[in-house]
Amino acid sequence: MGDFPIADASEGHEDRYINKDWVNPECMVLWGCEPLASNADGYLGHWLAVCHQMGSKIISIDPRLTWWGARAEYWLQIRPGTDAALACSWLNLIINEKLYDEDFVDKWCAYFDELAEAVKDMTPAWAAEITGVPEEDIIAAGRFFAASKPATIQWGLAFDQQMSAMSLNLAAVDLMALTANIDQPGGWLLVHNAFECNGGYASGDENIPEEWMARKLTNSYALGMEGADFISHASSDAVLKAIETGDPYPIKMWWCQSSNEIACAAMDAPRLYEALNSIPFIVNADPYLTPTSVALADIILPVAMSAERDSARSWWTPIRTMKKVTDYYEAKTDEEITIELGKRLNPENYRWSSVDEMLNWFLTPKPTGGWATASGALEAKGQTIDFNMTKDEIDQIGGYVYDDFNGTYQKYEKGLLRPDGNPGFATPSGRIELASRVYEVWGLSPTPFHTEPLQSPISTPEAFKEYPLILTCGGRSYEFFHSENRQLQTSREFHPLPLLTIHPETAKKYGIIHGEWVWVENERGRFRQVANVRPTVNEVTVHAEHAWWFPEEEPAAPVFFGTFDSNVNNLTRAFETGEAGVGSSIKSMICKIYPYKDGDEMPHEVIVNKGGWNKIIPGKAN
Amino acid sequence: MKGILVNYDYCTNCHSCEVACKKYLDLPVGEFGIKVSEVGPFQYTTGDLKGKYEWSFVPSLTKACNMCADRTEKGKMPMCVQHCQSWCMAYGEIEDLLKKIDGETRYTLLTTKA
Repeated sequence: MGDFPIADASEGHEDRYINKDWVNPECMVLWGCEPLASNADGYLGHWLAVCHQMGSKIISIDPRLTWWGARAEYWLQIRPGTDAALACSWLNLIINEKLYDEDFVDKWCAYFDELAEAVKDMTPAWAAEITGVPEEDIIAAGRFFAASKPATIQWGLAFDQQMSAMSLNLAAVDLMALTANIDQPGGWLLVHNAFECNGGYASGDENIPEEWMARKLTNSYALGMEGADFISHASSDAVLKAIETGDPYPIKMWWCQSSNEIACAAMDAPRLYEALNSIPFIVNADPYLTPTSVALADIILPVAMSAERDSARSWWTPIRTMKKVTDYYEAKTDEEITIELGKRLNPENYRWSSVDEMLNWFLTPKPTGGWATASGALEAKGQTIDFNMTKDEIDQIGGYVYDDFNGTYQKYEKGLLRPDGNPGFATPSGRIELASRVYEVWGLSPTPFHTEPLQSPISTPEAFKEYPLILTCGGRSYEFFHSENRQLQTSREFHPLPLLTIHPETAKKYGIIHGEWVWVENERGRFRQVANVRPTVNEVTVHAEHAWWFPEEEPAAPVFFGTFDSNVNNLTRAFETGEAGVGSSIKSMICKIYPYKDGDEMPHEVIVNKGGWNKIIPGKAN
Repeated sequence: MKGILVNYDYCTNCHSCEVACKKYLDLPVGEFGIKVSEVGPFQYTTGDLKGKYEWSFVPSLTKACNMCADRTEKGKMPMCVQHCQSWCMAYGEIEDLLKKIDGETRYTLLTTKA
């Protein structure tokens, strides 16, 4: 639809819940999302808890019972990885029963007939078969969502971690568009970076020579995928291929800053460990010594923590600054490290003489991360931005300033979204494209559809006999953010060990006792976590936590703080994605579980001392 | 008499009150000034509630709690109330707090020994 949407809990207004323009959502769909614990991208889940306190009703779409599901009008306990089927069936229902806002669709949407045709056979009965959610619940919840004014959807990372990821995102946009909830109070707010300070994303791309850009390790350049270049950063699979094969060129240096990839982000962690080990020179910049530091780094740079750091953010609103109040030892901030390194590598692209100067550059309205300022390029887009404050000035008034754009609704009526200043949305047609023409350019299907997880009771029934449970993973907890905070005493007091959630009947069936270690295994390998026996998952599903390591364990090889022993990424695969390189099956795998016994061989032994469980085929799925 | 009123229908078990309190009182691992208890999750099988879930979180004050006397005498909130992410706690005279109980949602009133 041309802009970023976020669920509107009045976060665009400084006076929040008493703001006169804002309306509390009548219905909030918490979809693949537990925002209380995940706080994705600075969105605080407790904002939505306040909305609920003020009367918002809840639909929770989640394989797990969460705080939201226990308080919901409808909790749809969906089979992991099948959300797109549910979304398509809601589109089908809303179109068939004419529950959509005809006036909004007529005035502001395009390609309605194409969408209607695409979903015409995707009925609630069809989706019930796929998702495991009863047909009558799909229908009742869909009608409730469509009838609520306003309604909002808070979507979670689960949207991106399924095979039809981009399709599911499109389907959610279509649901919000059909029901006229886009850019409305209490619906979805369309947001820009505050004051058009856009110096963050893809910063510096325009300074890179064309012939270098053409050789960026993207899915299309390195893996030959069609479309596939709509993500600005390099593709992790393409990078892995380059490391393993030297094609299209070898990787000789690896810089990892505030990333603990073998504990957290790696698909197939044992494989990435082996690949990174072959890189001649590795630098790790991090506030803590992590498994990645110990296992891989040639040089470790200690990074300053937040109280030691001057920084700024413009992601949505308000614009925010943080002020350094102390420092310890030789640690430097991410900003200091970046400037000092950048000046040595390419002084022309790092013109700042200090962090202050860089932050003041960042806090200047500009269309991209380049050297241009607001005056030229933004005015050419029909926008004048009245913002001229330094980092120090923002610090002085408390460290934040709200902008007008993100506090304004129905911007499409006011000509605020399009570069030409006309009413409408920032799409080729000027309307919300229910069948997206831009998706076609990116090599994606223009209408939503469902793709089955790569392994599941439906796609691999034979394998499901040996691995008869669905393994979902990655749900957050209050104590940690991905692999962070494992060394904090109070975080570990509340959450000492990684938890595998198992239904009581399933635990009984496999002889598993609450609080004891349990192995989770598929044909790739295994890991162990502690059994958390409770009925928040159904009898065929288990949920594993991700990104664990144990600062109290041995740092040196082969243990590496025990990070491989509890790592769900012993079971995931590289080189498996959905359309155009986006999406994966990692939240919807299959597995078996059995009790851990003293003396069992630990995964770190297999991975570090014996070369892992699986033969690697360089540059390809294995 | 002062007390803390908790609208516990909206407690999310985020631990903010527990952590803020134990850091302020400098309590070691395993000791608390306020502690949240969990009820459920279970699903009702009979009556009007059949099919509904119960999953509630209810804080208690321990003997270590002094209602943050040094803070409240300066007009500040107790640490637990200050840090409640759900805005479901209030500090004050218990007579005033009782007036907030409206029968619409579930409350519990917490007090300590004088």
